[in-house]
Amino acid sequence: MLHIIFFIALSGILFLLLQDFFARKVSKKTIQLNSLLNESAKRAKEKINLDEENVLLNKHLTQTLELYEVTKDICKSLEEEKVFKIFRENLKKYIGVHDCQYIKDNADLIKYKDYTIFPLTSAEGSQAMAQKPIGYLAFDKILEEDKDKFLILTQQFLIGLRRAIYYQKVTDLTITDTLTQVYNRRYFLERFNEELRRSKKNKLRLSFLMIDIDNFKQYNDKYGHLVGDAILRQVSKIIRETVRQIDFTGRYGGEELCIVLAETDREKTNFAAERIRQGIAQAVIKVYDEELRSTVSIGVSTFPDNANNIRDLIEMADQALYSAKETGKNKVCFCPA
Amino acid sequence: MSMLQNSIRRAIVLILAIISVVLIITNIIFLHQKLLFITGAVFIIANILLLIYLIHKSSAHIYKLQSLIEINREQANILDDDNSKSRQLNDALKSRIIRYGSLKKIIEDLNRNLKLDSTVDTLTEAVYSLISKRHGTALLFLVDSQTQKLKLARSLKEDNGLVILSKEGDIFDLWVLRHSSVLIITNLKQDFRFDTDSLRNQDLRSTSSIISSPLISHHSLLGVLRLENKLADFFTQDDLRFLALVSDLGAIALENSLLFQKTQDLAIHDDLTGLYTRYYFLGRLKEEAKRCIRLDQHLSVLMLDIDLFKKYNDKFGHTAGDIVLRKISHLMQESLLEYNCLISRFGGEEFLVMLSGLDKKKSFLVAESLRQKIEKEKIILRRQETKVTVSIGIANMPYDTKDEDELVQKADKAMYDAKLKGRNQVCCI
Repeated sequence: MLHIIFFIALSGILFLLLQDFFARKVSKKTIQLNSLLNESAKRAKEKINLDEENVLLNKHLTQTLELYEVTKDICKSLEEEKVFKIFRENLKKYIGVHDCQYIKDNADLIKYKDYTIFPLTSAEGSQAMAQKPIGYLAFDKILEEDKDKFLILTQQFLIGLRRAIYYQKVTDLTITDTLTQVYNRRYFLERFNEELRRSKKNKLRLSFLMIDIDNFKQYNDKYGHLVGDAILRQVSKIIRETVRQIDFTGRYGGEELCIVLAETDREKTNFAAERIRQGIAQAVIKVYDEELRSTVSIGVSTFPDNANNIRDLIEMADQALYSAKETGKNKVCFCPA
Repeated sequence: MSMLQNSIRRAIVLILAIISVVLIITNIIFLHQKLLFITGAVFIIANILLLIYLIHKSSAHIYKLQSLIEINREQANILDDDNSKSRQLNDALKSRIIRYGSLKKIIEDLNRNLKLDSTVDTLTEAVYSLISKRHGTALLFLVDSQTQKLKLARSLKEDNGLVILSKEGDIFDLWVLRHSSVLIITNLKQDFRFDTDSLRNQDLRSTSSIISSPLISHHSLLGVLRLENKLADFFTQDDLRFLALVSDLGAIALENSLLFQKTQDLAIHDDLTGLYTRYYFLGRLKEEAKRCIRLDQHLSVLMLDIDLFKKYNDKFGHTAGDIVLRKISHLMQESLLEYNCLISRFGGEEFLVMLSGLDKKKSFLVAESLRQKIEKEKIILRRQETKVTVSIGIANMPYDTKDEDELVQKADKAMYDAKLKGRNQVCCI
């Protein structure tokens, strides 16, 4: 009987021990699992947060980038007013500004009493202008959160505006084009006007030549800007050496050069124009490691046969140039009398 | 779940206990103590079975838990990876935002200063610190407007011993110029666009990656901005994009500086004749007058005017007029070379010369020889010889006046007298 009780007790104890052992093992694993699950949940949450933040950051970045892409847009123009117009469009696009005005004169500031005034300050480097701003921006309202964007845009406007102003100043003061060393458009037209007036007064003949480099765009695309510039430079050098000292040459547009031959009739003009054309066609232009050849087309109009004012003379020479281009390039075309 | 299992287990124990009790009772009633052995055996077997059952049950449970743990751990690892990726992206975005945020500062800096040197400095410094993190080399080349060639304007490098060999730009810069676009080389040795053999004489071992961007403003090329590093794959696409953006801004700033330089130069030099302008001349005259009074020196001013210039212009054209102006400027510079003088184009056909240290008599002789020189000079237009003459007025300090404004006025008056007396002559007040 005692044995039986002993057995029962023994198996009971054994059972309890075993159960406890296994239960402990299970609970340990369970705790491990639970902590893992917790951790995973935490990480998942963190990831969601991070992703959300990333989306926001990305948006912010794209917006900032967009703001800087505006520079190219603003600086497309070299005219003060146009630069401001593009700036204002961008201002409206990116920030809620209803009205923004560009004020050059201090006296006009009074007109914009209700507006916020933002002075466009000059560079510190130039003492002469340090005190006086280039101009002022007047705007009605800007949200606090847009202030940063506004400042970024304004800086870009300033850089473009300044370029326009200096560019204008330099063209007003210079008479020659830096690249080609011939008269710039403004001075050329001034001289042309005077020369035409003199020709009218003294009943002299005058010829106007418009010269365009053939396939210039292809050269630019194929060899790059510098090669294009070098060709333009070389061509204008040949022209300057070919014409008389008294004739004057100007750069009219990108790759267009103009010459006024004073006191010259059609026959002599043809001789001069042909000499220019041949001179350029024969010249080898060396740029870096390239040896290039270039040709020009020339359109000619004459006074008094074709027209008696500058605008028409230019227009007709342009037409003659066009027909020279159309009929095969590398040739001289006269505007029919 | 474990609760349920526990109750099942308890039930089993209870059943086993009941069986044991039944067995014991049967043992007592029928077999007395003879069944002890069998009972013991049954207990042992029951216990063993119990043990096996528990092991089996628990290990299955533990195994299940273990596999769950492993799956979860794997997922946690995946999550970890994802997280670290997100975090990397986060960091990258943040650093990009900081980088692009610093653009604001750069553009402000560029706007603040118009001197070419500081613009070049700002640009080079900006890309070197923001993209290269001050490692490797940063180079800025400017196009020389006279020769149309590149010229190194600024360089920043980590190692001072590193010599920059290509002061005029190499094939990479030419590539950028020719294509007018940005260039990225991640590993120079594996880039087949460039014939690196031809560069063997140059020490390129120290360069593996390059990014470079042209500085283009309003269709004209101003220069090239370039970064180099010893390590391959040092630069990313975003670095290139940032460089391009800085270059766009920088090109305009550079053009502004160049234009500003030009306006400053134009305020001093007349574009047609290359002589000093009225504005600059008067400033210098003021200083010189002060100096001469202090040192008790003579200061003479010559006012020179071309005779009948308007008629000449009408007859031969304004271009001829320009030629005459240039010619006379040249003659003046040539014949006054030996004196301490300053020549300016004062107005249309008026020139003003400041002669320091010359008294009235000497100035008169100088002016007279200049007048004769101009009189003799032939200007040939269309094979036709033309001539011009000049009238010159002289005023002297301290002889005529002690005020520099009055000095100019008196010279003007003397020149007017010369005109009245029949032109082509020199007059003193």
